[in-house]
Amino acid sequence: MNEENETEWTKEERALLDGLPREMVPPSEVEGRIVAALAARGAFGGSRKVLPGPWLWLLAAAAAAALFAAGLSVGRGEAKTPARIAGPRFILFLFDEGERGGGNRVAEYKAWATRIRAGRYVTGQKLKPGGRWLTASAGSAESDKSESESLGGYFVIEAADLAGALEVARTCPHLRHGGRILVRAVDPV
Amino acid sequence: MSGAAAGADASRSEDDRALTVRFLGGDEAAFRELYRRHAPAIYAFATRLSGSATDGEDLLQEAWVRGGGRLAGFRWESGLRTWLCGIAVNCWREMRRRGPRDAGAADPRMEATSRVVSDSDRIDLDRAIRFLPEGFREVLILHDLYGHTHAEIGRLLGMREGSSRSRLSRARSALRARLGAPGKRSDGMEEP
Repeated sequence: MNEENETEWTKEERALLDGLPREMVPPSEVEGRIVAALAARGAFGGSRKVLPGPWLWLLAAAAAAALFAAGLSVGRGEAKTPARIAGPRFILFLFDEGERGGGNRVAEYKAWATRIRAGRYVTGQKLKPGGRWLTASAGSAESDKSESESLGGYFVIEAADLAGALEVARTCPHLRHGGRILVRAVDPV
Repeated sequence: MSGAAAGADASRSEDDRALTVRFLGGDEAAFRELYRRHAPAIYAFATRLSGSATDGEDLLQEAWVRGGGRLAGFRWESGLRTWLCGIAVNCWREMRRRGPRDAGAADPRMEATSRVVSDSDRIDLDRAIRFLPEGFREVLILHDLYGHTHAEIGRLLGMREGSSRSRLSRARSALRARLGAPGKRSDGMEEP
Protein backbone atom coordinates (compact mmCIF):
# COMPACT_ATOMS: atom_id res chain seq x y z
CA MET A 1 0.00 0.00 0.00
CA ASN A 2 1.53 3.32 -0.98
CA GLU A 3 1.52 6.61 0.87
CA GLU A 4 -1.52 7.93 -0.99
CA ASN A 5 -3.62 4.86 -0.27
CA GLU A 6 -2.83 5.14 3.39
CA THR A 7 -4.49 8.54 3.45
CA GLU A 8 -7.43 7.62 1.19
CA TRP A 9 -10.63 9.28 2.25
CA THR A 10 -13.24 7.38 4.17
CA LYS A 11 -16.70 7.09 2.69
CA GLU A 12 -17.92 9.87 4.96
CA GLU A 13 -15.02 12.14 4.09
CA ARG A 14 -15.51 11.48 0.40
CA ALA A 15 -19.16 12.45 0.72
CA LEU A 16 -18.09 15.69 2.37
CA LEU A 17 -15.72 16.49 -0.51
CA ASP A 18 -18.32 15.51 -3.08
CA GLY A 19 -20.70 17.96 -1.44
CA LEU A 20 -18.53 20.94 -2.30
CA PRO A 21 -19.89 22.84 -5.32
CA ARG A 22 -17.84 22.35 -8.49
CA GLU A 23 -19.44 25.18 -10.39
CA MET A 24 -20.21 28.80 -9.54
CA VAL A 25 -21.82 31.31 -11.82
CA PRO A 26 -19.32 34.14 -12.30
CA PRO A 27 -20.48 37.78 -12.20
CA SER A 28 -22.16 38.53 -15.49
CA GLU A 29 -19.90 41.45 -16.39
CA VAL A 30 -16.83 39.24 -16.53
CA GLU A 31 -17.91 37.78 -19.85
CA GLY A 32 -18.19 41.27 -21.31
CA ARG A 33 -14.75 42.25 -20.06
CA ILE A 34 -13.17 39.15 -21.54
CA VAL A 35 -14.90 39.61 -24.88
CA ALA A 36 -13.80 43.27 -24.90
CA ALA A 37 -10.20 42.31 -24.20
CA LEU A 38 -10.21 39.71 -26.95
CA ALA A 39 -11.95 42.11 -29.33
CA ALA A 40 -9.25 44.69 -28.68
CA ARG A 41 -6.78 42.07 -29.82
CA GLY A 42 -8.72 41.64 -33.03
CA ALA A 43 -10.10 38.23 -32.13
CA PHE A 44 -13.55 38.73 -33.59
CA GLY A 45 -15.10 39.63 -36.90
CA GLY A 46 -12.86 37.77 -39.31
CA SER A 47 -9.12 37.52 -39.58
CA ARG A 48 -7.11 39.01 -36.77
CA LYS A 49 -6.25 42.48 -37.92
CA VAL A 50 -3.09 44.49 -37.47
CA LEU A 51 -4.09 47.99 -36.53
CA PRO A 52 -2.24 50.93 -37.99
CA GLY A 53 0.18 53.22 -36.25
CA PRO A 54 0.15 54.07 -32.57
CA TRP A 55 -3.32 52.66 -31.97
CA LEU A 56 -1.96 49.15 -32.13
CA TRP A 57 -0.17 49.35 -28.83
CA LEU A 58 -2.82 51.52 -27.30
CA LEU A 59 -5.46 48.91 -27.97
CA ALA A 60 -3.10 46.18 -26.84
CA ALA A 61 -2.77 48.11 -23.62
CA ALA A 62 -6.55 48.17 -23.36
CA ALA A 63 -6.57 44.41 -23.63
CA ALA A 64 -3.85 44.14 -21.03
CA ALA A 65 -5.96 46.24 -18.73
CA ALA A 66 -8.40 43.42 -18.52
CA LEU A 67 -5.70 41.30 -16.98
CA PHE A 68 -4.58 41.28 -13.40
CA ALA A 69 -5.01 44.46 -11.50
CA ALA A 70 -1.45 45.42 -10.73
CA GLY A 71 -1.04 49.10 -10.07
CA LEU A 72 -4.15 51.13 -10.65
CA SER A 73 -7.05 48.77 -10.72
CA VAL A 74 -10.16 50.78 -10.48
CA GLY A 75 -12.78 49.53 -8.13
CA ARG A 76 -11.00 46.34 -7.09
CA GLY A 77 -12.48 45.02 -3.91
CA GLU A 78 -15.54 47.16 -4.32
CA ALA A 79 -19.00 46.06 -5.30
CA LYS A 80 -19.06 44.63 -8.78
CA THR A 81 -21.14 46.13 -11.55
CA PRO A 82 -24.57 44.59 -11.05
CA ALA A 83 -25.65 44.46 -14.67
CA ARG A 84 -23.86 43.09 -17.68
CA ILE A 85 -22.19 45.80 -19.73
CA ALA A 86 -23.22 46.00 -23.35
CA GLY A 87 -23.06 48.58 -26.11
CA PRO A 88 -20.54 50.49 -28.19
CA ARG A 89 -17.19 50.97 -26.58
CA PHE A 90 -15.03 54.03 -26.45
CA ILE A 91 -11.51 54.54 -25.23
CA LEU A 92 -10.66 57.73 -23.41
CA PHE A 93 -6.96 58.44 -23.91
CA LEU A 94 -5.68 60.72 -21.19
CA PHE A 95 -2.86 62.98 -22.31
CA ASP A 96 -0.93 64.97 -19.74
CA GLU A 97 0.23 68.52 -20.10
CA GLY A 98 3.37 69.10 -18.06
CA GLU A 99 3.81 67.25 -14.79
CA ARG A 100 1.95 63.99 -14.35
CA GLY A 101 -0.34 63.40 -11.45
CA GLY A 102 0.65 61.59 -8.29
CA GLY A 103 -1.13 59.45 -5.75
CA ASN A 104 -3.92 61.88 -5.01
CA ARG A 105 -4.88 62.11 -8.63
CA VAL A 106 -4.89 58.35 -8.95
CA ALA A 107 -7.31 58.14 -6.05
CA GLU A 108 -9.43 60.88 -7.59
CA TYR A 109 -9.57 59.10 -10.92
CA LYS A 110 -10.43 55.84 -9.24
CA ALA A 111 -13.28 57.51 -7.41
CA TRP A 112 -14.53 58.93 -10.69
CA ALA A 113 -14.36 55.57 -12.40
CA THR A 114 -16.24 54.02 -9.52
CA ARG A 115 -18.96 56.64 -9.85
CA ILE A 116 -19.45 55.94 -13.54
CA ARG A 117 -18.92 52.24 -13.10
CA ALA A 118 -22.50 51.02 -13.25
CA GLY A 119 -23.13 50.09 -16.83
CA ARG A 120 -20.54 52.42 -18.39
CA TYR A 121 -17.06 51.79 -17.05
CA VAL A 122 -15.25 48.76 -18.48
CA THR A 123 -11.65 49.14 -17.49
CA GLY A 124 -8.78 51.58 -17.18
CA GLN A 125 -5.12 51.82 -16.37
CA LYS A 126 -2.55 54.43 -15.50
CA LEU A 127 0.50 54.17 -17.76
CA LYS A 128 4.10 54.65 -16.71
CA PRO A 129 5.98 57.48 -18.38
CA GLY A 130 8.08 56.79 -21.44
CA GLY A 131 7.85 53.97 -23.91
CA ARG A 132 9.43 53.20 -27.25
CA TRP A 133 8.27 53.69 -30.81
CA LEU A 134 9.20 51.13 -33.40
CA THR A 135 8.81 51.81 -37.10
CA ALA A 136 9.81 49.83 -40.15
CA SER A 137 11.66 52.78 -41.64
CA ALA A 138 13.79 53.14 -38.54
CA GLY A 139 14.77 49.49 -38.67
CA SER A 140 15.67 48.28 -35.23
CA ALA A 141 16.26 51.78 -33.94
CA GLU A 142 14.06 52.84 -31.09
CA SER A 143 12.99 56.32 -30.17
CA ASP A 144 11.68 57.50 -26.86
CA LYS A 145 10.83 60.96 -28.18
CA SER A 146 7.21 60.56 -28.97
CA GLU A 147 3.72 61.53 -28.09
CA SER A 148 3.50 58.41 -25.98
CA GLU A 149 5.45 60.19 -23.27
CA SER A 150 2.45 62.37 -22.52
CA LEU A 151 -0.08 59.56 -22.64
CA GLY A 152 -0.81 59.03 -18.99
CA GLY A 153 -3.54 56.44 -19.07
CA TYR A 154 -6.86 55.45 -20.49
CA PHE A 155 -10.35 54.37 -19.66
CA VAL A 156 -12.58 52.09 -21.66
CA ILE A 157 -16.25 52.94 -21.32
CA GLU A 158 -19.49 52.07 -22.98
CA ALA A 159 -21.90 54.66 -24.28
CA ALA A 160 -24.75 54.80 -26.76
CA ASP A 161 -22.75 56.94 -29.18
CA LEU A 162 -19.86 59.38 -29.41
CA ALA A 163 -21.93 62.18 -27.92
CA GLY A 164 -22.68 60.01 -24.91
CA ALA A 165 -19.02 59.08 -24.54
CA LEU A 166 -18.02 62.74 -24.69
CA GLU A 167 -20.59 63.53 -22.06
CA VAL A 168 -19.00 60.98 -19.74
CA ALA A 169 -15.49 62.14 -20.61
CA ARG A 170 -16.35 65.73 -19.75
CA THR A 171 -16.89 64.67 -16.14
CA CYS A 172 -13.43 63.13 -15.87
CA PRO A 173 -11.21 64.94 -13.36
CA HIS A 174 -8.36 64.76 -15.85
CA LEU A 175 -9.69 67.87 -17.57
CA ARG A 176 -9.66 69.85 -14.33
CA HIS A 177 -5.99 69.02 -13.99
CA GLY A 178 -5.24 70.57 -17.36
CA GLY A 179 -5.06 67.31 -19.27
CA ARG A 180 -6.54 66.49 -22.64
CA ILE A 181 -8.77 63.54 -23.41
CA LEU A 182 -9.01 61.92 -26.81
CA VAL A 183 -12.23 59.92 -27.21
CA ARG A 184 -12.15 57.21 -29.86
CA ALA A 185 -14.77 54.63 -30.69
CA VAL A 186 -13.73 50.99 -30.78
CA ASP A 187 -14.47 49.61 -34.23
CA PRO A 188 -16.03 46.19 -33.61
CA VAL A 189 -14.76 44.68 -36.81
CA MET B 1 -8.41 13.53 -16.02
CA SER B 2 -10.71 11.05 -14.32
CA GLY B 3 -14.05 11.10 -12.57
CA ALA B 4 -17.32 12.74 -13.45
CA ALA B 5 -15.79 16.13 -14.15
CA ALA B 6 -13.26 14.58 -16.48
CA GLY B 7 -15.92 12.63 -18.29
CA ALA B 8 -18.01 15.70 -18.86
CA ASP B 9 -14.96 17.55 -20.13
CA ALA B 10 -14.04 14.76 -22.56
CA SER B 11 -17.57 14.36 -23.88
CA ARG B 12 -17.65 18.04 -24.75
CA SER B 13 -14.24 18.17 -26.34
CA GLU B 14 -15.45 17.54 -29.87
CA ASP B 15 -18.05 20.25 -29.60
CA ASP B 16 -15.43 22.45 -28.06
CA ARG B 17 -13.20 21.88 -31.06
CA ALA B 18 -15.91 22.92 -33.46
CA LEU B 19 -16.65 26.02 -31.43
CA THR B 20 -12.97 26.79 -31.19
CA VAL B 21 -12.58 26.61 -34.95
CA ARG B 22 -15.42 29.07 -35.30
CA PHE B 23 -13.94 31.34 -32.63
CA LEU B 24 -10.55 31.31 -34.33
CA GLY B 25 -12.35 32.43 -37.46
CA GLY B 26 -13.61 35.46 -35.58
CA ASP B 27 -17.00 34.21 -34.40
CA GLU B 28 -17.82 35.99 -31.12
CA ALA B 29 -20.94 33.91 -30.52
CA ALA B 30 -18.84 30.75 -30.60
CA PHE B 31 -16.49 32.18 -28.01
CA ARG B 32 -19.38 33.18 -25.78
CA GLU B 33 -20.75 29.63 -26.02
CA LEU B 34 -17.39 28.20 -25.00
CA TYR B 35 -17.20 30.68 -22.15
CA ARG B 36 -20.68 29.94 -20.84
CA ARG B 37 -20.03 26.22 -21.07
CA HIS B 38 -16.84 26.23 -19.03
CA ALA B 39 -16.70 29.46 -17.02
CA PRO B 40 -18.73 28.23 -14.00
CA ALA B 41 -16.39 25.30 -13.43
CA ILE B 42 -13.24 27.35 -13.99
CA TYR B 43 -14.55 30.12 -11.76
CA ALA B 44 -15.32 27.68 -8.94
CA PHE B 45 -11.90 26.09 -9.39
CA ALA B 46 -10.10 29.45 -9.39
CA THR B 47 -12.08 30.72 -6.41
CA ARG B 48 -11.31 27.61 -4.41
CA LEU B 49 -7.67 27.73 -5.46
CA SER B 50 -7.27 31.35 -4.38
CA GLY B 51 -9.76 31.29 -1.52
CA SER B 52 -11.34 34.48 -2.79
CA ALA B 53 -14.12 35.11 -5.28
CA THR B 54 -12.48 38.40 -6.25
CA ASP B 55 -9.21 36.70 -7.06
CA GLY B 56 -11.16 33.88 -8.67
CA GLU B 57 -12.79 36.42 -10.94
CA ASP B 58 -9.41 37.83 -11.94
CA LEU B 59 -8.08 34.34 -12.59
CA LEU B 60 -11.10 33.40 -14.66
CA GLN B 61 -10.68 36.51 -16.78
CA GLU B 62 -6.96 36.06 -17.18
CA ALA B 63 -7.29 32.40 -18.10
CA TRP B 64 -9.76 33.18 -20.89
CA VAL B 65 -7.89 36.18 -22.22
CA ARG B 66 -4.58 34.33 -22.27
CA GLY B 67 -6.20 31.14 -23.45
CA GLY B 68 -8.08 32.94 -26.19
CA GLY B 69 -4.82 34.22 -27.54
CA ARG B 70 -3.19 30.80 -27.48
CA LEU B 71 -6.05 28.60 -28.64
CA ALA B 72 -4.68 28.35 -32.17
CA GLY B 73 -1.72 26.45 -30.74
CA PHE B 74 -3.73 24.25 -28.37
CA ARG B 75 -3.09 20.60 -29.27
CA TRP B 76 -6.12 19.08 -27.52
CA GLU B 77 -4.04 16.64 -25.53
CA SER B 78 -6.40 17.47 -22.68
CA GLY B 79 -9.88 18.92 -22.52
CA LEU B 80 -10.30 22.63 -23.02
CA ARG B 81 -11.47 23.08 -19.44
CA THR B 82 -8.44 21.26 -18.08
CA TRP B 83 -6.17 23.40 -20.21
CA LEU B 84 -7.80 26.62 -19.05
CA CYS B 85 -7.59 25.48 -15.43
CA GLY B 86 -3.89 24.96 -15.99
CA ILE B 87 -3.57 28.53 -17.22
CA ALA B 88 -5.50 29.67 -14.15
CA VAL B 89 -3.05 27.79 -11.93
CA ASN B 90 -0.12 29.56 -13.56
CA CYS B 91 -1.88 32.90 -13.23
CA TRP B 92 -2.50 32.17 -9.57
CA ARG B 93 1.18 31.52 -9.03
CA GLU B 94 2.04 34.82 -10.69
CA MET B 95 -0.54 36.55 -8.54
CA ARG B 96 0.98 35.03 -5.43
CA ARG B 97 4.42 36.26 -6.40
CA ARG B 98 3.10 39.81 -6.61
CA GLY B 99 2.17 39.78 -2.95
CA PRO B 100 0.49 37.87 -0.13
CA ARG B 101 -3.20 37.12 -0.44
CA ASP B 102 -5.75 37.00 2.33
CA ALA B 103 -6.42 33.27 2.32
CA GLY B 104 -8.48 33.46 5.47
CA ALA B 105 -11.14 35.79 4.17
CA ALA B 106 -14.47 34.02 4.11
CA ASP B 107 -16.32 34.36 0.87
CA PRO B 108 -20.08 33.99 0.84
CA ARG B 109 -20.06 33.03 -2.83
CA MET B 110 -18.30 29.81 -1.90
CA GLU B 111 -21.26 28.92 0.25
CA ALA B 112 -23.51 27.61 -2.46
CA THR B 113 -26.03 25.02 -1.48
CA SER B 114 -25.07 21.39 -1.05
CA ARG B 115 -27.42 18.46 -1.07
CA VAL B 116 -25.04 16.04 0.58
CA VAL B 117 -23.54 17.59 3.66
CA SER B 118 -24.50 20.17 6.20
CA ASP B 119 -23.58 23.78 5.56
CA SER B 120 -21.34 23.97 8.60
CA ASP B 121 -19.37 20.87 7.62
CA ARG B 122 -18.91 22.10 4.08
CA ILE B 123 -17.85 25.59 5.16
CA ASP B 124 -15.38 24.06 7.62
CA LEU B 125 -13.98 21.91 4.84
CA ASP B 126 -13.68 24.79 2.39
CA ARG B 127 -12.00 26.89 5.05
CA ALA B 128 -9.60 24.08 5.92
CA ILE B 129 -8.69 23.70 2.26
CA ARG B 130 -7.97 27.43 2.02
CA PHE B 131 -5.45 27.11 4.83
CA LEU B 132 -3.51 24.24 3.30
CA PRO B 133 0.05 25.25 2.46
CA GLU B 134 0.69 26.52 -1.03
CA GLY B 135 1.46 23.68 -3.43
CA PHE B 136 -0.44 21.16 -1.35
CA ARG B 137 -3.77 22.88 -1.77
CA GLU B 138 -3.36 22.91 -5.55
CA VAL B 139 -2.72 19.17 -5.69
CA LEU B 140 -5.60 18.30 -3.37
CA ILE B 141 -8.06 20.47 -5.28
CA LEU B 142 -6.97 19.17 -8.66
CA HIS B 143 -6.99 15.51 -7.60
CA ASP B 144 -9.69 15.12 -5.00
CA LEU B 145 -12.16 17.74 -6.15
CA TYR B 146 -11.67 17.91 -9.90
CA GLY B 147 -10.56 14.38 -10.66
CA HIS B 148 -7.24 15.05 -12.36
CA THR B 149 -4.71 12.24 -12.46
CA HIS B 150 -1.26 12.64 -10.98
CA ALA B 151 0.17 12.60 -14.49
CA GLU B 152 -2.04 15.54 -15.42
CA ILE B 153 -1.23 17.37 -12.21
CA GLY B 154 2.44 16.81 -12.88
CA ARG B 155 2.09 18.44 -16.29
CA LEU B 156 -0.05 21.28 -14.97
CA LEU B 157 2.15 22.12 -12.02
CA GLY B 158 5.50 21.14 -13.46
CA MET B 159 6.29 18.39 -10.99
CA ARG B 160 6.89 14.65 -11.04
CA GLU B 161 3.96 12.29 -10.58
CA GLY B 162 5.59 11.01 -7.41
CA SER B 163 5.72 14.52 -6.00
CA SER B 164 2.04 14.95 -6.75
CA ARG B 165 1.24 11.70 -4.92
CA SER B 166 3.36 12.69 -1.95
CA ARG B 167 1.84 16.14 -1.74
CA LEU B 168 -1.65 14.73 -1.97
CA SER B 169 -0.98 12.38 0.89
CA ARG B 170 0.41 15.17 3.05
CA ALA B 171 -2.41 17.50 2.07
CA ARG B 172 -4.99 14.92 3.10
CA SER B 173 -3.26 14.39 6.42
CA ALA B 174 -3.03 18.13 7.01
CA LEU B 175 -6.68 18.56 6.12
CA ARG B 176 -7.72 15.81 8.51
CA ALA B 177 -5.59 17.33 11.24
CA ARG B 178 -7.10 20.72 10.71
CA LEU B 179 -10.67 19.49 10.63
CA GLY B 180 -10.01 17.49 13.76
CA ALA B 181 -8.28 20.31 15.62
CA PRO B 182 -10.14 23.60 15.16
CA GLY B 183 -8.03 26.71 15.65
CA LYS B 184 -4.84 25.02 14.52
CA ARG B 185 -3.26 25.51 11.16
CA SER B 186 -2.02 22.50 9.29
CA ASP B 187 1.52 23.76 9.64
CA GLY B 188 1.16 23.86 13.40
CA MET B 189 0.79 27.63 13.65
CA GLU B 190 -2.08 29.25 15.47
CA GLU B 191 -4.76 30.64 13.23
CA PRO B 192 -4.78 34.45 13.25
